[in-house]
Amino acid sequence: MSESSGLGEESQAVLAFIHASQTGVLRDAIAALEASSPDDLPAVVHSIRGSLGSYRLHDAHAHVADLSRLIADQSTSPASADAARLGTVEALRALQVAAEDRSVISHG
Amino acid sequence: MAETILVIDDSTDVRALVAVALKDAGYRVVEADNGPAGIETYHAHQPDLILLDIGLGSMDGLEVCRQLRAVTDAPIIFLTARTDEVDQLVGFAAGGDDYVTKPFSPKVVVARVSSLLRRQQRPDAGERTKYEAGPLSLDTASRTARVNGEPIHLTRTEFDLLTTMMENSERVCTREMLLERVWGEWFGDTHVVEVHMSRLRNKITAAGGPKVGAVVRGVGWRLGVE
Repeated sequence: MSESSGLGEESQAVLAFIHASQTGVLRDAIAALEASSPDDLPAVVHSIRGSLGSYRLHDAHAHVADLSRLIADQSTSPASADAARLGTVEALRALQVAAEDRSVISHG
Repeated sequence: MAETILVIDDSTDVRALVAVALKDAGYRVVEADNGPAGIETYHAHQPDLILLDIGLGSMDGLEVCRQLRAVTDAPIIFLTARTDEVDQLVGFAAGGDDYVTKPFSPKVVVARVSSLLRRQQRPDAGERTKYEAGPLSLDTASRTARVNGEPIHLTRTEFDLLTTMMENSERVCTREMLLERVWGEWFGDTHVVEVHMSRLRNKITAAGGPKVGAVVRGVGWRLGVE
């Protein structure tokens, strides 16, 4: 599921852990975003942004970074922020489905 | 015996990744998912170094750092998703020694941990350990600094900055030299030297000592004490 080509710099143990954990990290991020309220959305975004990037889920990280910038903008209305949150959930789900498809192909 | 690292972060995924990288490098790891639990875990395990997320819940990482600094001189590395410089500087004012921004590379975290732990190793036998300049005195073996004979509390980074300047009291210390001697491998903003130099200067003058770290424009800093 790796979205990165730069994993070779890490140790084999860390590489293996990152690869094995990426699906779960993406799933955790989707669940956290789905469950977040307007009040805790900034904290949730802050937390999952760091996780996704550190696990080299760069495409997912980019989507969440966009959401982070939008909700940090004082001119963004609560309704727009919520719509963006749902849009980000959908984008992450699409990445998850694509990753699972790749996994089925590679293991099939 | 393996050195113990305390990881305080509210993200299970982040803690897990950091723990795997540190254990793979031979460290022992203990974890906490919030500030109060982190302080409790510190007292239970007395770790050699603390990795601390700034964006914790009810008690943020900066407050945790202040409370830990009241009881320990162990190096503290901030983990932060906030990349703006103000946060970094506030982090150092709270008593942190270094910071790593998220997203992070596990091997960079390990490198920073190793670098800070190397800095606290005792000097070799026969190595000079005592320095004096005016009212300032320093003992690198016991890691104590005094002004007019009275001990002052310095963080590890402040102590190492002062040591480097006192070891080189006859010359100007360049930014590169200080970064290399004090921080080892440094990947962040090089203005970190100014931040720590300012804090060191303020602590010494507050204790009745001289103004150390005189700026030599375009070159670096000199001790500035005869």
